[in-house]
Amino acid sequence: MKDFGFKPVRPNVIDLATVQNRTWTDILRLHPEMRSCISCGACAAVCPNNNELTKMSVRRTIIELRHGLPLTSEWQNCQMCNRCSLVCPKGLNTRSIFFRLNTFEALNDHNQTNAEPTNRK
Amino acid sequence: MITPDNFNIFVIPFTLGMTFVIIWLLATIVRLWRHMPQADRRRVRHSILTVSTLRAAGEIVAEVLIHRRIWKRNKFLGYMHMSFAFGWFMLIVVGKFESLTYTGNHFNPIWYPLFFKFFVPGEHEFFLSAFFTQAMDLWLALILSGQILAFVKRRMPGRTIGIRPRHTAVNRAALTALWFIFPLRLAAESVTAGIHGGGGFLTGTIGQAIAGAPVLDSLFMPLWWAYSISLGVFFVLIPFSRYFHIPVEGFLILARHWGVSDEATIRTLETLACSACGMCLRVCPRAQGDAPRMQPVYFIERLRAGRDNDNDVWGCLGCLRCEEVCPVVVHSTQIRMARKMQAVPQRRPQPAPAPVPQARQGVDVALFAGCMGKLTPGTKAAMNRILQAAGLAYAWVDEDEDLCCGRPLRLSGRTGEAQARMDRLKTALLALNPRVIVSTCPICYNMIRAAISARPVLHHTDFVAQLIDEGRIAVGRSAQTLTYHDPCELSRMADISSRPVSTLAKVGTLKQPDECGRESHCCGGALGGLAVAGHERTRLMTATADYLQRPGAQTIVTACPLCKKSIAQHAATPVVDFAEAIAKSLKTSSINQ
Repeated sequence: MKDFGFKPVRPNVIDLATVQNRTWTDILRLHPEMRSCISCGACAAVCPNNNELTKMSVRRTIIELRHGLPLTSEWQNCQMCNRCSLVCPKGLNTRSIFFRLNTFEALNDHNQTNAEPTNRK
Repeated sequence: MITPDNFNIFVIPFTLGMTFVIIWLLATIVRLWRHMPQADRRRVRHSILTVSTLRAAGEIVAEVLIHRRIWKRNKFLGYMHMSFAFGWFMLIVVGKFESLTYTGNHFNPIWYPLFFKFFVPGEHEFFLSAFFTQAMDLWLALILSGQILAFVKRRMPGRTIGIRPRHTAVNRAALTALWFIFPLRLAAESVTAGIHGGGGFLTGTIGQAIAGAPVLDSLFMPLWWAYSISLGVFFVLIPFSRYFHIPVEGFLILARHWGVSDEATIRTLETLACSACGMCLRVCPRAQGDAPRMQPVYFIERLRAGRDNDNDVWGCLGCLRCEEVCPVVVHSTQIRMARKMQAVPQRRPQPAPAPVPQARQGVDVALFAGCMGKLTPGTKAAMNRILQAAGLAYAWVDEDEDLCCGRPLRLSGRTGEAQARMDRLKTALLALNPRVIVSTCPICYNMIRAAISARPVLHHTDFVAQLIDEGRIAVGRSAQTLTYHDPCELSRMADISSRPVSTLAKVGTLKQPDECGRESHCCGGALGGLAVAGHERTRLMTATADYLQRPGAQTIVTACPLCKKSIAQHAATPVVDFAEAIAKSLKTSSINQ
């Protein structure tokens, strides 16, 4: 290919149709209401684990799950305290996600299959 | 000895069924005994010949036969259950003595007392024979009157008990067999009386009325066969249906009185002793909606069949209203807890970081708001005002860092990790070296109370009430009207319900709803509802908020941050914490003394 002095960059778009997203599908099967999450971040704002010592973000985890990305937030710190659910403007039982993540054996698969997402820089 | 005088081939179905159920029951008890820890076995052996056995016997009569707890809840249901249990028991006992008196032989075959009228038809003179005949008819009449009520109940559940449980096929089959037993006995004995004479006020009268009818002879054997078969079918179905509670409940009461402490044994006995009566259905907040059923009656039914599902284990809010009304006192929440621990991978807890060193040591009061307390800063401010007014040195243990009592993790089945959180909290609390530990959250209060015995642990309602009683703070009464909502963890779990109410009566007029105290409604935000859908929770919150606004008070008062947040979201009436209601009424002279 002729060198034009620049390279085409792959668009930073996640094609949800091609993403293997078993964890999110499993969560939706049990909690279909999670579709209506608007990612407002109220949950993350009140989360006791969203601080200097333990970096956990409810909102970030939900977005990563949705997009089939590896979970970078330290969701294991969730202590199930229910604060996120009480402040959710959509009235969702947000904490059920972390409760399910803990029980899912599929989570290992999730992190393996999505460890190197091909379509994300 | 088996002779034609005391044996006929038709007794075989009953005898087989009876033998089967006795063997099954013994096998169940032996299996439980063998799985019981050594210490509990020793305890049972030491308790058998003590007064506790007598107490247990008294309770067995009161609960298994008379059904006292059901009487207290619902006279209609109480009579129905008593007529079956007590009536049938007396039929067996009196029948045994009748056959014993007649033959003078202690070792009559097992079927002989039951089919006594078949083997000894007509009138016979023996000791107390007239009494026995009339008594047997009386007990039969008692059972049949209960059966008529049971029929009415099944036809119009709404008028009698509210919600009626939907039973599984095997339970329905057993019920059908049970319903055939006593009418068939009546028919068989009446026909016998019609042919041979005799019989009491019931069977004798019917016998006289139908005497001489040509069909009697052809009905005689089929009716006795049918009676025996219905008994046999019922007995064979007992171990697989809810009727296993009849023999097991007695053992459960004995185990409790003998001090058996092994969780697994008691939970297994409770699972088998659940009579699936459906009392829990009427009070369960989740029974009203269209959500899949997970009430104790259904959960335990499926658990016994090994088919309990995700919703059964995780869909319960844990408000304990069901345990409050359960006539057998089945701790279904504990049974669910055991299932949760099986369902969740138990992780090794991470070593907890050392608690943040506390500057203030040696305070009077160590306060703990808990994770939920962070969402209700009003409670914290009110407690500050009250403690300042009382002139006590205090410190909030979770001022600088988030500490957790571990209950939420425990409820999600992760007991090991929960224990690690509790240990950390315990260290932090005791590091303050307080005279008393006070929690503003009833959930944390229950956890701390169970973990710390070195210091008195109080919920803030009790603590504030004590301050008022001791005269450390003074409150003024105003014209305001209040409705107090009892949090489940405080009223039902910690049995604190009358003191907050009497304290609030000092600052205003209380307007309580019908169901309060230990029977209070669930706020819907309960910590146990891990898998309860958001819209379902909203429905529960709205329902409870509406219920609490019905008495028309100006303010709703509660004593739990979860209840406060849940109700406040859906109530037009302002919702405040107990501490806020008291702090508002503090006499100004008592502040900053």
